[in-house]
Amino acid sequence: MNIFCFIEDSSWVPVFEHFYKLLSGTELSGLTLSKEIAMEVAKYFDKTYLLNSTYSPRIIMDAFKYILSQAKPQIALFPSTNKGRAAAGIYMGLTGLPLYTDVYSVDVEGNKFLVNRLVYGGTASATISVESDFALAVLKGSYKEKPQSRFGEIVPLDIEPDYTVQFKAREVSGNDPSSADIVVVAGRGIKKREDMKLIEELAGLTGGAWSVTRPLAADYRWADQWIGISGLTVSPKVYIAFGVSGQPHHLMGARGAKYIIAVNTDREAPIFEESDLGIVGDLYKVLPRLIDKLKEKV
Amino acid sequence: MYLEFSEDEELFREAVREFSKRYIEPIWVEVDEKGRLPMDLIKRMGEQGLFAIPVSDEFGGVGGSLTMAAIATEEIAYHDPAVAIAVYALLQNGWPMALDQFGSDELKSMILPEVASGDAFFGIASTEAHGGSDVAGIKTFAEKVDGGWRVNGEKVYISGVREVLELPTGGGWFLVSKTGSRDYGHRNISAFALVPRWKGDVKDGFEPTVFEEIGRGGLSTGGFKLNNFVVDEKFLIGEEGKGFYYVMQGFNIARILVSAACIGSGRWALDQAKEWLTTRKLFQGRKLSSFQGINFKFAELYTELEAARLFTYRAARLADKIYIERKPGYKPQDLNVPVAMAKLKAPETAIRIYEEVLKWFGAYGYTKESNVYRGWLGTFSYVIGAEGGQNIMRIIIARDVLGKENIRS
Amino acid sequence: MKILVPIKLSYDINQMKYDERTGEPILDAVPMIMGDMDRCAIEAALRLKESLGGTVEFLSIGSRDTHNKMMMDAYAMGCDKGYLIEVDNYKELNAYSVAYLISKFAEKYGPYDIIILGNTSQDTHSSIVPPAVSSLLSYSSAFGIDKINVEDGEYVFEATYEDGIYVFKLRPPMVISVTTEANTPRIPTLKDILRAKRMKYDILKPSDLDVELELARVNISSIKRFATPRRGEMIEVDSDEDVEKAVDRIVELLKEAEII
Ligand SMILES: Cc1cc2nc3c(=O)[nH]c(=O)nc-3n(C[C@H](O)[C@H](O)[C@H](O)COP(=O)(O)OP(=O)(O)OC[C@H]3O[C@@H](n4cnc5c(N)ncnc54)[C@H](O)[C@@H]3O)c2cc1C
Ligand SMILES: Cc1cc2nc3c(=O)[nH]c(=O)nc-3n(C[C@H](O)[C@H](O)[C@H](O)COP(=O)(O)OP(=O)(O)OC[C@H]3O[C@@H](n4cnc5c(N)ncnc54)[C@H](O)[C@@H]3O)c2cc1C
Repeated sequence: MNIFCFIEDSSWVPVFEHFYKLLSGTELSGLTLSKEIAMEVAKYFDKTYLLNSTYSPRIIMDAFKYILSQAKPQIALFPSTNKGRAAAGIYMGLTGLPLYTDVYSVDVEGNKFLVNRLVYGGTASATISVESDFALAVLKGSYKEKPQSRFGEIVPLDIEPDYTVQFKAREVSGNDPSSADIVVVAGRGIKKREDMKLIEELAGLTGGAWSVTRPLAADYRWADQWIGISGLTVSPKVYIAFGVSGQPHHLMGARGAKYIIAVNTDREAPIFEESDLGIVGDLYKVLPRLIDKLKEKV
Repeated sequence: MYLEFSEDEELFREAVREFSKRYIEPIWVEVDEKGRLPMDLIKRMGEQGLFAIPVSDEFGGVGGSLTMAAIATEEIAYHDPAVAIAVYALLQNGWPMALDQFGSDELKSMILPEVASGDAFFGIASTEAHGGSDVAGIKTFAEKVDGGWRVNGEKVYISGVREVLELPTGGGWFLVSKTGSRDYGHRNISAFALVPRWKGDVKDGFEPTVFEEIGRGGLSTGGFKLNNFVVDEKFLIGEEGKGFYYVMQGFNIARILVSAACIGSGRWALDQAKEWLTTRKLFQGRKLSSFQGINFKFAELYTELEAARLFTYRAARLADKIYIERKPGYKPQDLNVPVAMAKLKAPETAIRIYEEVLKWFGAYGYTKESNVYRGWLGTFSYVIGAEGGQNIMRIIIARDVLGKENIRS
Repeated sequence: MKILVPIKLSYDINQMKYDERTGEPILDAVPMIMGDMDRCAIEAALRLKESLGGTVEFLSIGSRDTHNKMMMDAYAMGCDKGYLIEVDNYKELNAYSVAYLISKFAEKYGPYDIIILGNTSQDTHSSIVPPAVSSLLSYSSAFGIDKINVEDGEYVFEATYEDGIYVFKLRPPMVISVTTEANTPRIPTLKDILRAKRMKYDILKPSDLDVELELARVNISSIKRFATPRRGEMIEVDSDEDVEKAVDRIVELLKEAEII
């Protein structure tokens, strides 16, 4: 199977490597949009196409048209992110191949692949049987496989960059839930903005990052990003939630976590159904004590 | 009758629900607590077309049906279980509809567009201090003078007094008054559009007062004295001496909407209870809902609410046949018993639901935090008598079913 | 200006129901609605029409029986003309077939200056139909838009992605998709609904667009309520000792995960 990937950034390399193995890949190629990323990932790819331009759908479309005229990948992989999904959709339009998004695993059955994906807002999982020539947009699990060294070539594409698009990078606050090993998450159980300090303090003490549910970000403006289907998808080792009810829209962004811990006063909160450790109790009692305990340890 | 709604009715219910979620649900507690309807909400409800729904579009109404008005009232009350906002809306559908049915074109084109837009109020002024149930016994008297009438009397427990004084245009009421003779009886009653304030100051001879109520705090109830208040000729509704006949039909219309408000509020209370009963655990982890003493009662109340709902919409459909579609063979008096049954059933069911739900909530239900009591106090206004006391409903049913001659004492 | 808004009748996933025993969804019991983002797409189209003139047309794929109310809803919001491509087993269509039908429709009934879609449907959340439509038509495009501005014939779209904010400047013809941040959709009034009730929409068949749908089915072999195996350990906290116990367990788990 020759496999083509849209490499949004280098953090996706282990993810693609993981699926490459599952899908019995034989050749791995990818498209990147920056020289730095290309240099970094080329070690692990047989062929790395480089189009040095800010992302735009137009760029993606031109690049895919060119790449498809050169080679016919049997399988294409995309990140299940905003840009990844857009790229996947463009690819599907150009090739007419079946495309499945929100894929979290693939099983092999004879000469068929059983693709497992989340559907209905992440409340259900569907298994789809496919053979070859398809595309997947995959979720970022916490795959720790060390990618195989391949040291392929970098192929610069002769396509004019998109000068019309402007990009303003998110301010790097040092708080990056996407790459942290532990993410501390606040939900509406947190009553006041000042109390977010407790959440940040715990994140600091554990060397992790913090985040929130959508209402805290979109409605109260206590943060710029949130976790969930319309926000970030994270896959830390530990996801620990305080006062989060665990609606499907939110949990879809957290299911990649190895362990889920939840503190909630409501015994029936849906989050407990998907927790490794559930604490039925007041976060205002548990959180300060947890912070003290960790401070004692330091 | 099988209760079924058409696609446009369903769509309208969804639209009102979305409106109520956006603009009413977030403020209903504050409205009840502060005892004020925000004027911008009233304006917005007008723009959304929630007033004058069963009024012909020729006179600025929506051109809908009473069923649609009931749907709107039910949904608003679900999101404002203390019912002040729902009652405001129902009054602005019921009494404008009555004016549309019986008033002159001149009167309708003056008043109805302003009511529809939310700039003016038009309610009902019938009750007097010596006893509201007995309309034939009213004492307010309008004396014929040159070019109009001179009215003297006093009305009490009248909804909307403060709103008439504060709304941009003002407004008034469907007033019933004796004309010709002061004798007891209904043949000497006439109806007027009493408009003490219209795009300006309050007219002479109108002396208002506002009472403080225990529930549905947002909407004011007050009273007024008419002291040689002069009414122009054009404000007579329909024919002289037919006022009793008109106001009774107006009550029928309004009572259907009152029932819809009680159903909406009651449904909210049952939904609160459902959530509570299925999550609260006692006696070693048993859900409250697992006790038969509770779930039987829940099933009963649920059934009663559905019964009240059927009564209400059956009456609304019938009213539409009489007044909107004007189907041959349907007469206004056909409504008396179906409406009386709806008005008898809906408020009492709501109260029964609240009393049970408050108990299920335990001590929490008795705190102001739970807000359930607000719905209880709000809907209680309708078992007390707003738009007619419960015994009056019984009298209507008994009179029709047993025969007038057989119920005389 | 001619705008097309394709809308989808989706399962209301907030009301998903599952068979307790098998974990399979009971889809017949789940209400179907127009998705929130589709509603925002209609709103965005209507606002463009109100400021720049033109017409807003809408298109859905499905059956008359199930889609009639949603079609009425779109008219009630203020759309000018509706089309329904009748496909009885529309729930089985895969994303490519949907995009293909939309693009074929746009070729035959267009040209459209702007095609606006919701960024994701309410039930599948894939976000792949809009980009597929754009590449099938070779239109310029931007997806997941939160803000729309028009400056001298140039459309400025702002979108927030994982790494930051992108501003795209496009000229028609184009395909865009919007999020719920883009606007607050208007609520139709009863007058709008009563007017919409009288409006008819055109019904066509895939064959009218020269589309053969046989190839396009999703072969789902199973679908079940999602469950990652979790330990499900629970601690009820009532007393101060319970707090201690809970905190100790959290610390142990953090150690196990090599956080501390
Ligand atoms: C199209 C769409 C997309 C969405 N996308 C997202 C998304 O990407 N991400 C997202 O997060 N949401 C999203 N949502 C919203 C989502 O459906 C939920 O509304 C949201 O996740 C709920 O946030 P919450 O858990 O903070 O609040 P709530 O649901 O209000 O939960 C608060 C919880 O705190 C508990 N609590 C209260 N006090 C305490 C205390 N003292 N101690 C402990 N616990 C306490 C309560 O029991 C409750 O369970 C989306 C919704 C839609 C319609
Ligand atoms: C919140 C609120 C808002 C109101 N708004 C308005 C308004 O906008 N306009 C308006 O005109 N009025 C309004 N009213 C007044 C309402 O119409 C009257 O309360 C109602 O008609 C009953 O009149 P009453 O209060 O004078 O009681 P009464 O008529 O004195 O009756 C007292 C009790 O005796 C019962 N009773 C009376 N006659 C009989 C009988 N023959 N047999 C058996 N029992 C009988 C009644 O059912 C009642 O329980 C409002 C009332 C309330 C509570």
